[in-house]
Amino acid sequence: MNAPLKTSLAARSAEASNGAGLAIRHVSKSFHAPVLADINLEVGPGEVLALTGPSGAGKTTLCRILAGLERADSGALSLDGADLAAVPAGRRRVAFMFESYALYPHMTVRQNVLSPLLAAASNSRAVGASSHEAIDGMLDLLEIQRLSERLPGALSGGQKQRVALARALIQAPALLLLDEPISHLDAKLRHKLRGEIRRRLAAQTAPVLWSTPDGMEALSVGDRVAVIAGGRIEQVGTPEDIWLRPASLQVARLMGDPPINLLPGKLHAENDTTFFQHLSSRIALPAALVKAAEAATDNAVTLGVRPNAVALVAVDAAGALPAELYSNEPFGKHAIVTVDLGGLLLKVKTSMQDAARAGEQIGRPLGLSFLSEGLMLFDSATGRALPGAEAPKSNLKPDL
Amino acid sequence: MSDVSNTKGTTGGLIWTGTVVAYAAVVLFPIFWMALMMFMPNDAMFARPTVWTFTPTLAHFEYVIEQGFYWNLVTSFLLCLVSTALVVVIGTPAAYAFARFEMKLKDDLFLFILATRMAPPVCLVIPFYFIFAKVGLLDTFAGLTLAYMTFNLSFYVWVLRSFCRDLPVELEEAAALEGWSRAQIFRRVVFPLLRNGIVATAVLCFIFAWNEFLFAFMLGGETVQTLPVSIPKLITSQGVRWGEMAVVGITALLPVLTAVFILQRHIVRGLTLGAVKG
Repeated sequence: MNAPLKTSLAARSAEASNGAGLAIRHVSKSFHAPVLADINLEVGPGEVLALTGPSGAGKTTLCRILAGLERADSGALSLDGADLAAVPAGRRRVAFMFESYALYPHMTVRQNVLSPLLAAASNSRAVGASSHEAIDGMLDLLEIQRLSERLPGALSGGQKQRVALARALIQAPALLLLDEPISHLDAKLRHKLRGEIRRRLAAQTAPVLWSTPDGMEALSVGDRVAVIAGGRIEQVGTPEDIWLRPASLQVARLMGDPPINLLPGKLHAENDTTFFQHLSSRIALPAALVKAAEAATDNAVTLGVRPNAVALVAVDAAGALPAELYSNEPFGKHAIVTVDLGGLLLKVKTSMQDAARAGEQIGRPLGLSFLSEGLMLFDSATGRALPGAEAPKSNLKPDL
Repeated sequence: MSDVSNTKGTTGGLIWTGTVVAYAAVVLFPIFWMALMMFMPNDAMFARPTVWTFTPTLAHFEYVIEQGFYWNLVTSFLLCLVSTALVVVIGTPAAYAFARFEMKLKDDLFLFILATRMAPPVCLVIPFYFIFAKVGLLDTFAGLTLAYMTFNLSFYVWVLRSFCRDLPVELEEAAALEGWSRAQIFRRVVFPLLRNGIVATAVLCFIFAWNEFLFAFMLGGETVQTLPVSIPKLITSQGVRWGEMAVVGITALLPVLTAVFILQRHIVRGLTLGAVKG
């Protein structure tokens, strides 16, 4: 994130405290079973809130409630200080980009993008020349001008996605909802469009809710990230917060590729040192975690360590945990080495050189060392991060 | 497509084509023969051995026109057109409602609609007769239109409901969020996407009504006489007028053939595919 963008965001959050932006208060919804339970979120003007969680977590339902396509059982919604729930869907000025894109199959790309403007122009047949200019500009911007006379059936997934985005952005909406906008595209296109959309969103002032099941996508597109699971908000925070200080096992598991390593174990103190013991592996807790460890229920904790906070060291190095090579996958810029630590498979994200040193021979003994600044402690009984058990500020950034 | 048949081998393709042609010949021969009979002099029709060459005559056409059969044709056509149009006007919203809206006893209501189609027509025609006799609808255009709607409406609603269900609801939701009213959404989004389904189903309804005999015979017959009901008039005291029957029969066949060609074009519903990502 660059500096000017940061400043403008700060200004926007200041506006948010004046009632501008979107506020979701105590929203609950159940169909047959509860889908959303007591959701509280705020999104400032121009802010992108990435909503992430496993499928079925309630992301789409929340978007649909905001759009007015579903009614919340309880709770309040306000947009720029006005009660949103009282406004019918058609007049909320919400642009909703559907997971399925929902392009009108019988209309050309241009007609699709024109449709919201036609509706807004109180359905008069004549749409001003300015609208057509706006459409041309939008189509140019998303590089789909040459497709303008095609029907959606003749477009590829990425092209449809751009048309849907154009249709959403042309409305100058009061609220922008992107429901899994790029989830169904291939990885290469996802990378390309993620940046493009991010760039487009920076230029407008509506609050944006971007839902995605991909935790890493959420970290990369959101000014802030809300993690939802089982209909509850697990954590809301900056991408850095979510990455370095996940509030629960659930959150920690959702983020990262390969996913975080979780070691169940027990805590015990000897002399002045607190140790974490997983089977025969024993790790001395760094000072930052000792205090947090005291709050653990029955001393049963789960130790979380990201694959990039594990290092392969010599078997006889001081404090090295004895493990065996399980598999070694070189990716070119880095390698993923899977090791067997007393029956538990751990992922190690390491340099190509270190991976080469580990070799290919399955079962070969290796030494493991955990970077103390990358350790996280969770209460095994509740699954919550132990209070104060935060990794200190570190350079262990999400590697996208 | 042509690639596939080529790789299959020309021998297999020939056998397949031959089989289809032979089958078509068997099925189409009676119709072909009937078409010949339209122009055959009476003595050539049943000559043994079969006469393949004859001097064509227009006598059968003259008789049919003299007897006013064109009037039956117009009656049939108007009756089918009006009843089918009413079925479309009433049935389209009904099918849409059954596909989209939550309502009490929806399944029971739908079964009720279908049930009118399940009963054998002869079970319905007797009560119809008594009711129509009571309210003065016997042998009237309105009465027959009404009777035809009873069995076509249920069929139409039943078939069109599945077309409606295939429409992705997101399209309507997207339109609603853009600010279109429900009526506008129906006109701008639902109707254009349903059009193929409506045409295909309506054509089927038209054919059912066109071919219908029992209701037309029992509830109409004098002032309102459809083409199928008029044909027995050709079984006269002087014998069966086969040539005239051929003329009326082929005439009755033409609208159905035309309809099937229209149906073929519209039943290809590639349009809604691609609305939702594949």
